[in-house]
Amino acid sequence: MTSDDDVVTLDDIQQARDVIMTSPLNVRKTPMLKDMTSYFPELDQSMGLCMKLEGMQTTGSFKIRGVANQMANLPPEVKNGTRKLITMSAGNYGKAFAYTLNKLNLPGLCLMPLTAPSNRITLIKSFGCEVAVLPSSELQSTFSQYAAQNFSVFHPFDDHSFIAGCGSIALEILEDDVKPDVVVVCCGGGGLVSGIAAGIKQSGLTDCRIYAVEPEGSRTMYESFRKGEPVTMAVSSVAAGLSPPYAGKLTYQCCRKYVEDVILVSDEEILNCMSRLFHVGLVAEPSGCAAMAAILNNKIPNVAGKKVVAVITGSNVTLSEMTSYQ
Amino acid sequence: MNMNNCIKIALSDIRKAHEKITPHIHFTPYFRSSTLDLRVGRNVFFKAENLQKTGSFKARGALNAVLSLKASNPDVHGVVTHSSGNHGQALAWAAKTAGVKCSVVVPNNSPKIKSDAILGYGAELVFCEPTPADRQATCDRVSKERNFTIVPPYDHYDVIAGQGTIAVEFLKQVPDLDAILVPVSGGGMTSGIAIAAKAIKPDIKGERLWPNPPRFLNTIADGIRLQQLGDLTWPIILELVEKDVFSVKDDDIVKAMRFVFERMKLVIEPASGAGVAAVMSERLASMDPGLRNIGVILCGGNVDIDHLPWC
Repeated sequence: MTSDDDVVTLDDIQQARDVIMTSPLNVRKTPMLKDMTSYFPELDQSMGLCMKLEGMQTTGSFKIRGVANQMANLPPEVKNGTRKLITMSAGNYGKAFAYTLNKLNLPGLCLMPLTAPSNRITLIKSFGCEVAVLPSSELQSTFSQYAAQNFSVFHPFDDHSFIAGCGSIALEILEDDVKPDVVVVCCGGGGLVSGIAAGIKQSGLTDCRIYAVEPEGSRTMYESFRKGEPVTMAVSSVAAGLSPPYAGKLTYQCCRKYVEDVILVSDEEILNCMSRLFHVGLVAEPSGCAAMAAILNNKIPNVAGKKVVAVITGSNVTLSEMTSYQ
Repeated sequence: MNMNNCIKIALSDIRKAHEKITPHIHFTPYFRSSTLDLRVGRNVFFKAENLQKTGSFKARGALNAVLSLKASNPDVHGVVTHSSGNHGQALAWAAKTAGVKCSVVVPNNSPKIKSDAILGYGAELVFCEPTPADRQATCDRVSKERNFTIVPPYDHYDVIAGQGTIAVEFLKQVPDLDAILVPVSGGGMTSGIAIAAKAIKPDIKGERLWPNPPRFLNTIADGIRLQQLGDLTWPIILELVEKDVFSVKDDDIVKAMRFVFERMKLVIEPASGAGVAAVMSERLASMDPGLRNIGVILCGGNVDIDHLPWC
């Protein structure tokens, strides 16, 4: 089932789940809503829609699962505070990272782009994490320099431990007695969809189709699939969390093996979906809505009569942000 | 269990109602918040009727009433009611589901989003003054003019039985509930839940709560502005519901709504915020520590995103 080219194994994922669930970070098993098709009358009602609500996770997105596993094997100089942990993120990863440092009482530095909203910068600082704000073009090179100089850097998605931590969601889906035919996951750097896909497929559901969904304006994995290798490109979308400027090496490798295809949705489709979910009674941020947007706009092939799981990946959106998108 | 002779609904009626309406409504989930549990020192379970068809629990009572009406009178001309929003929407949807005409009398200060939704289900809107007297008078007039049957928002056995199905589900989901907090306006949900819950688990405590002492309130909780228990609901509540009453202020309601939006990631309307505010209140903190598992009904989620009371 697994082979040498597997980025993460089922064992890695199971171990990761044990680590993160017993960590002091309060990572939770999130709600899985079943029989949701009738909430969306526009869907083919023969589909059995389930929604995994990762926006209800601690820190408001799934990222804490990955971070918690990355924290499992810290080198001694980080544990005793002599070296600070470094990452780069404008959003949910940064929040989970800062929250974790705060809980574990460790120093850290988050590199953030100039384009990051000021409330995100303030939020991350409020956890006691240092912040360095840089032009987006310098973010990756600065991060790489720190890595080269032997600092302890956490990549926000292209990381074995992160991917394995995210894969814990696959275990919960299966343990919730959902034998999915299709799983649809939002895709930014590809860390989440990699972990979930590896977990589902290596658990024996070889016929289950996993789809990654990206914004049209930030289609790095989509282009990587077409080119046959991870690409870097200009990106732009209202779904800022799904817009890193490249697909990861590990995430591309994992997705190539286990993901059926990459589906694209427009910003408008994403925002309409967010609005639909609000009217249903659920709060989700634009980046968290991509998978559901693909389903609502009939972009996932062959779902009639199938069991479909949509992962809502994050709900970190303020009321004023939501209304500003209207 | 001894029931007052005035209480003409039994658990069996509520179970029958559940069978009738189940194919059309959602068996809603419940949610928890570990942050809140820590804060209040109890296990709190939120029944998410904000996710119900039409965005509130009222779909249950309305549908049970319409289906029962149609069963006993297949030639029914149509149905009519008066409502500040959610019951009107629920009746409009129930009538459409059952293939029956519908008119809804709505106070002229009702949120536009609620009256728009009623129109969306194909029902007719009739506006009235925001007083209990004019609501009733207009409703009576429309009923006579069109030969429509009145389906009141709460003072009707089929409506009460429909609302009671909430408790049937909730106690199936969380059999160990020690108490249920229910926001009250006309008392339909409170009485329905009280009958079902007490029959299923006799030692359970039903606590009712409302924004301030009864009347027609100036509160942001528009779903419970009308504070007037009905002739049918009052004896049930008197008999079965705890004498403790929670009163919460608009301020607390807003804080609670914001907590639920920002931390629980759910959209609820102010009337539901009253329930959450009650669970966060000092009043609850001072109650019997033996009440470990508290159920709260999130009764609805019909809000206008542009008019939420914080930003």
